[in-house]
Amino acid sequence: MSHHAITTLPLPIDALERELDDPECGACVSFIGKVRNHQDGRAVLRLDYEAYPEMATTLFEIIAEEAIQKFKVHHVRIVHRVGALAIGDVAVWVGVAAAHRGEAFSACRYTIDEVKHRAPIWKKEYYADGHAEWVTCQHDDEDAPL
Amino acid sequence: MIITVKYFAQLRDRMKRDEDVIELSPPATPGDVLASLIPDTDERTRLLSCLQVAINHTYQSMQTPLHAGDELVFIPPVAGG
Repeated sequence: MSHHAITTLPLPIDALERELDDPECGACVSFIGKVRNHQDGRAVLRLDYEAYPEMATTLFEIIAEEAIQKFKVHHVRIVHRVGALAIGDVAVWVGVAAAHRGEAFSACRYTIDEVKHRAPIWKKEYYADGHAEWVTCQHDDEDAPL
Repeated sequence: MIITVKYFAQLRDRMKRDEDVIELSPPATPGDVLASLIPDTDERTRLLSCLQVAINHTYQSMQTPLHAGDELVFIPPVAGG
């Protein structure tokens, strides 16, 4: 798998975590985004993720470089899965390696927030009531400051 | 000039196809292309309020001039991550 990627396969979390290892880095922080079973009070059965892959990976490179420059971390890596996902499946993995934990946490938070706001990736939710919708509203409550 | 327009997500559902290859007379903008694809004014107004524009994998605007060989994508509201 190339450094930042859009993939249709299940994410190899263990391998991604191992590849983050760097003797200069004392802190590794990763975020795993998984498919949950509810949205706005509605039961969700499954999801489709879709990407404009060439632009999404370009934006992953741009966002990762922004995070590296802004927070002075060593490595940032973004991998996003597309296709039909089930409840509990991992949709996105963001990994950061840095000398220290403060900047590692901050860079990871920044990266996933920017991916959510900017990457050309779309999500169609299938609900228990039989309806299916493309999600048009990203929830900003998750972006509340720590 | 010839450009390619690609459709994703709800816009692909609306257009019922993945892409178009379009011949345009310059000067032309994404706004011009959208007007030719979606003739209904009300529908186009709704779309203009929620679509972003990408040309050759970079966010641009509805007024950015297009050039021969460009790849144009109207980006519906994103929901990745």
